[in-house]
Amino acid sequence: MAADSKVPISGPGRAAAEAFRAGGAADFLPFLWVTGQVALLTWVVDVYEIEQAAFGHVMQLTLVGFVVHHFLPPALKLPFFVLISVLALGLVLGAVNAAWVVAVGLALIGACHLPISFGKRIAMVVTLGATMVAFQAGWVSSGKISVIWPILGSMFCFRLVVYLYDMRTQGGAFGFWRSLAYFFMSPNVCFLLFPVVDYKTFCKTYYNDEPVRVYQSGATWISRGVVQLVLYRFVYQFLVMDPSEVASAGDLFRYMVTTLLLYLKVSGTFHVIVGMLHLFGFNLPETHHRWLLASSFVDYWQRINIYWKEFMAKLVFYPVNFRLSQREGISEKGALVLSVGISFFFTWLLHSYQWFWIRGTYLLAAPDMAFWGILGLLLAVNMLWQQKFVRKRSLKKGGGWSWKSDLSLGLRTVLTFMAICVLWSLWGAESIGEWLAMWAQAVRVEPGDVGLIGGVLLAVGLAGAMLGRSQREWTYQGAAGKGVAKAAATGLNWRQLGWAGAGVLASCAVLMTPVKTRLVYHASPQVASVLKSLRTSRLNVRDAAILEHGYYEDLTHAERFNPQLFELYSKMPAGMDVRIKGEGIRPTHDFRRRELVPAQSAVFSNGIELKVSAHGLRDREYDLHKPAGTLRIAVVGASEVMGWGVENHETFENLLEDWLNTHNTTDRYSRYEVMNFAVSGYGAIEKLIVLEQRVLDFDPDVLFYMANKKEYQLVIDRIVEAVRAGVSLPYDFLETITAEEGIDRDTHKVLAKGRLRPRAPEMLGLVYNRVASLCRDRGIQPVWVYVPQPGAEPPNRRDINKFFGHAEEAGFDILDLSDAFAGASTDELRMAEWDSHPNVAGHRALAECLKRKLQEHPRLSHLLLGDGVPIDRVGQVFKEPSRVQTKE
Amino acid sequence: MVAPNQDEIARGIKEFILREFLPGENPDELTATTPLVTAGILDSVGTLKLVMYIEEKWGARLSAHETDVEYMNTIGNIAKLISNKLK
Repeated sequence: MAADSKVPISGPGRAAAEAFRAGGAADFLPFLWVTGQVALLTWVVDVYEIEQAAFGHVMQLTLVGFVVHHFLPPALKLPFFVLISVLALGLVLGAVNAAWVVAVGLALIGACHLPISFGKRIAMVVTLGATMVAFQAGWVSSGKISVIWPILGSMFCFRLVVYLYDMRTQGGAFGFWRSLAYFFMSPNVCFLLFPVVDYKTFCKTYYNDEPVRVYQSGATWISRGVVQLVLYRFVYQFLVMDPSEVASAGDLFRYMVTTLLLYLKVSGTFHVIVGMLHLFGFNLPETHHRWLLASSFVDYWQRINIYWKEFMAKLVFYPVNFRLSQREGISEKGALVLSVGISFFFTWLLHSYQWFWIRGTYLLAAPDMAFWGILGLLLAVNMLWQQKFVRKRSLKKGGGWSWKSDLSLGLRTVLTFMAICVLWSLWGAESIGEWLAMWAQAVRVEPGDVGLIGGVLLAVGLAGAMLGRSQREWTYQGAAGKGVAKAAATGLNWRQLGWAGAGVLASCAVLMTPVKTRLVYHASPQVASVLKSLRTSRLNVRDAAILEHGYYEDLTHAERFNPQLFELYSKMPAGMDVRIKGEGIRPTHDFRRRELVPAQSAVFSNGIELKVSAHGLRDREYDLHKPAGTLRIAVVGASEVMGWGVENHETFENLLEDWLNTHNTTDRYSRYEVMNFAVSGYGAIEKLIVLEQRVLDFDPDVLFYMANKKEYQLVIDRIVEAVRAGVSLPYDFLETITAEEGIDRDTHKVLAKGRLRPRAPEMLGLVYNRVASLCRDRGIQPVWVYVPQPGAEPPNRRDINKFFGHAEEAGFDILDLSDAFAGASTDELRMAEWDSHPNVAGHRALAECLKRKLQEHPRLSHLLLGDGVPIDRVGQVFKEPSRVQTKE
Repeated sequence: MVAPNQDEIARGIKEFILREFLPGENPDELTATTPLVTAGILDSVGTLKLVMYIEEKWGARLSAHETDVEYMNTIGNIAKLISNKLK
């Protein structure tokens, strides 16, 4: 490999770079202008926690590196970029892992340059790749360095193919630093889903324009990317629907459009990545171009993920088409259709291949195949059409068009938008059956639906007519490109830089609007709450449920089509199974689905043991018969109460028990017992079953019904799962409601959930009434406790407030622990980024909050903690009407 | 048979592009340096049509990698590529 550090920059960029170093304030000010923007963007990235803390650190490194890099002589710029990239690896992965990434990467690059035949080099690279496959798939253990394989996969899985292709076709200049810069690009360590940068373009665009102009476009693209990522958060957190929520044509439309808009995550990420590379002189072309405004399928393919389209055209479409065209018996049209078909087959296959490198698992799902197959077919038909009826082009920039052509363009944009929305909704569906069930639910048209659908489509049509004709921002004009020469000749244009920079500053100013200012808060507390919520990366309610569902079921769908969960699962150790394993938990084949096994144990995914007591509780040992003078509190709940991932003595109910016993200064009770009947995954119905079948045998004085944010959802999900599995429902009122809604074994779960959703408040209310009346009949005081999850609480408490209403109506005393985690960061309180169960600190915070709320509650503090109620009268006092009932 | 020179090839390509993709446009506006791929005049279908025309007209066989923007973005670049192939 030739050493290229002496001449890394060619063309106008080199002259400009050298001139700059010799220049004065006139050159310095534009650079300062851009540096200010990059600094501001770094701050925005930090405040919004874009792509988690690791990216914030890499962005800070990029800012410092950008300034130093600019003042270096041209010969040192590429080596310095490589140094920054390696430092970014170390910053995120640690020194040892970073060293391994570099070592394996060097081996792969070295294999491409061995002094042997090209075929043998390919064989060598394939052998090394196969070894990496074995590590990534877990066939061979790589121990503590297993974290490096997804990074290496992301860096090399496609770029190595392009590199070898360009080597074969002499498509680019090769050199040591250039190759290292190409493979170890600094943003890659934070973004595993990385655009397939073309090697030749990477080389040709390096400082092919005035440096400050390249930097300015970098700042502009980063700002565009950040805006898109914040918009994505808004769509994701507030607009996305679950398929089972679709109940009308308007809902279906909203579902489809928001599913498509989730792509903002990829588009925004790619803008940020390429923008960062611009700061080091890589003047790469844009990765997406107004992809919502495509006016045909061919146009769509040319606007969305442009690098991928170029990659497929370069490596598959053109080579296959050229080969087929030379064969006898294959027509021009036949060759076109076949080459499109083969390109889309590879697109599907390579997405699975990419998935393997990122997750270490295989991705084979019917909606994926259907999506790529249908898109490929539509594209082939569209290309045949264009082959026959040549589309209108013009040499005039945005001119020469009539209102008729504008109208036609707008209409075509709307039709393409709709078709793409339909296709994306198919891609996003768990199965084709789910997708069809969703359509079956959307036959009703609500009054506002026409306005919603018409308004959105009109906006798309108008935007398409006005903006759809714009040309891509292509910075690579080729070796003889006049555009570059002209740009170099004209030098810097202050007005151009000023406007571009003003756009960046305006974006930052809007994003950094203080959410707590009186202006925003008084205008609308709800808007202030939304703005605040956008500043953190969190799962929406639907994905939090999918993630939690993964603790008991298969994870495949959650991983497949979901940028947020995709990101989250990418951070999990490869092959990690989050389910509990061992003899301590077993399936029941009834409505509860699982139970703890007495005197057995199991292991959580973090290695902590789940010890089950002789009576089948995740707790200490207690006698069946309550000892004299003891106040016994029974706790029913789900995994966060059971103590997922923490030791027995660390659960908040045991911390409460310890506190009650150590601070028992009265003679009322000789002892407190807090008995934990919680089992992971249990919803309201299962808790009622536990109360009836298990809790009452232990003669408790108080019941703590622990509720969480999924009260409605778990009632619906469990009923649907039971009915579809042929498991009988435990209560008549549930049988009646499911029969009234026409739900049986054959009803698709999306349809069944959609029908039950409006009945959820009624069902939960009935369950609560039953729990409360059962307690009152037995002299047990029912207490409803709301338990939050660290970082997983929905920003909108509408449903949670309804739960409080149901509990009050049923006659529970209420303890709200919503503020248990206030003042601490989410990461300090939860198990892991992909696991929102409270950790040891989280359980301590819950225990502290529960103690405080008990002390503050006039009635409960009097009954449980205060003087004046003899032990033999406790049950009788509890039978008295509660605070809420008194009001009624 | 004498191989056509670069200017003749450029003229032929310009005529083809005007006829096939830019009917009614002013020929003077299409120069040897007008961007074709990056300006959206030549897309995948257009590139394939042009490649077939080049093969039929001058018998020059292009390789798949020569459909790259580096070679195809201007009439001047295309003419230079073909001229070099015919030498």
